Amino acid sequence: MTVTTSQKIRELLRSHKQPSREAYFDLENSGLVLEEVLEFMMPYFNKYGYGHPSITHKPGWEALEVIYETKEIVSETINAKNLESIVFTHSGTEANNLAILGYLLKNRAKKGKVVVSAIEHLSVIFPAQTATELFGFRVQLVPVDEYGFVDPEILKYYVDRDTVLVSIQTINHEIGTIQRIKELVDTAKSANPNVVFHTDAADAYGWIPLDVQKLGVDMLTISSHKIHGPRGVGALYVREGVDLELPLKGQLSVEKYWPGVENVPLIAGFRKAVEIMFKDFESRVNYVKKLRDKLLQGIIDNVPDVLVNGPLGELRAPNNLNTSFLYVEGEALTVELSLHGVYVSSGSACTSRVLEPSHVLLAIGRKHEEAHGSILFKLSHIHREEDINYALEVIPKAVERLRKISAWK
Amino acid sequence: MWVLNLSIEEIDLRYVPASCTSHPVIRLKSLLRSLSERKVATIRIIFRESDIPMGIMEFLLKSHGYIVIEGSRLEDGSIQVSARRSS
Repeated sequence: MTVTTSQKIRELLRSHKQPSREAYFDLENSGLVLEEVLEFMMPYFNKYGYGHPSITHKPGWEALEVIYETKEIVSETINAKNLESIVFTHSGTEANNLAILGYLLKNRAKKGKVVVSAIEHLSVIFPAQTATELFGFRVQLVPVDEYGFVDPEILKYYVDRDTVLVSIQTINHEIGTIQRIKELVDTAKSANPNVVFHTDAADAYGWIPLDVQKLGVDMLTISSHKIHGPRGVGALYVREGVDLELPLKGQLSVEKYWPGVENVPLIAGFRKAVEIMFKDFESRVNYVKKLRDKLLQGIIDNVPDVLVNGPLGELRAPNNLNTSFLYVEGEALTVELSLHGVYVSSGSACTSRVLEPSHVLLAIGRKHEEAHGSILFKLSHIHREEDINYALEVIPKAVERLRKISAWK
Repeated sequence: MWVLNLSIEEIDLRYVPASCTSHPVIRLKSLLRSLSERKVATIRIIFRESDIPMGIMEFLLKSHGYIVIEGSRLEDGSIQVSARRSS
């Protein structure tokens, strides 16, 4: 009898057993929805605002109300002037695709150059490459230094009169590098005032102050699950005057750039998450930074042969820690840690289907073996000092055990 | 003991399979560190200027301790540079 995939997974979970304690640090790949957020969004499935937001009846208007409330609160947090400049999509990946493909589709007659950093999220790099294949644009990847920074002097080599679009992340999703976006926007626009500048701020939103007016960006991506909202909602800020063409075709509802019915309950959840994350912003960020620093120091003090990937100090995202444990395979370590209830992710594979290491780690000059041993921790205000203490109790033992059986020594 | 390293290695960045890590910039960054650590004396790189502008190639080589000693354009329009370890 053939064993089905679900049976195999069930067997895996059965043999995993329930750890005595759990600490979830994989907020990069899937956020954990806060209870208050869940409570807030549940009525929108069947009690209030469950209607189609562009139909003229009460449940529809209730849905429309929460969409606009969310646009208002998001606009306020990034200082967008116009509510219509906030476009909801169904994920950050979709928002990045809308920015890149939407702009290039609209401007396909220009056939110019698209400039992105070498460490962008694949939802930026892949659509840019698709535009190359389909419409004849040219994509150039800007190299970064060993900490992941794009040097404005280097960017100058890439942006010229032929450049139509530049996309550089505000904070890198893997190594936490905070780019000097304002300086990069100024550099790009000095070289070509007509260039449109997009920034993927999914990892920055809720963690560093963002002001689209001060930064001068034309498009900016946000993702709900990165701030403890539900998965399935993203948003793209599109500055007035920047025109896009829909990469996805279908019937429009509220959003003019994204077809299909808006995911109203999830948008409501996103709204609540924004409210929570922007309340006591500074003290929350400082709290998380302290926990992160404790985790980093504890790892350095207790585990030999560890590299920190990305910068240290103020130019690193306060919630990010990425370390390479040498002589250990990252995926093996994620499994070993999982058995003890510590949940993290590894940069040992650029996607779950490809066993190549993370392009981000290679782009900062890490060797394959260093990239393969990388572990990403994302922290948040949900964590307590006890979680860090527990992780620090488990990690050294797990690394030591795997190193004993490693073939890399 | 001082050992003279006269090794030469060639990197062709023109034809790369489609994948997350195959872009010439990413491949080059990863390879340069390894070549530099192995103290390879001379490296020859063939690349397309549309992928990596010449000025950037020189900058990246310099930041890993290499100086361009010669360059030429090949028939297919790509560029070949030779760089020597500076120390």
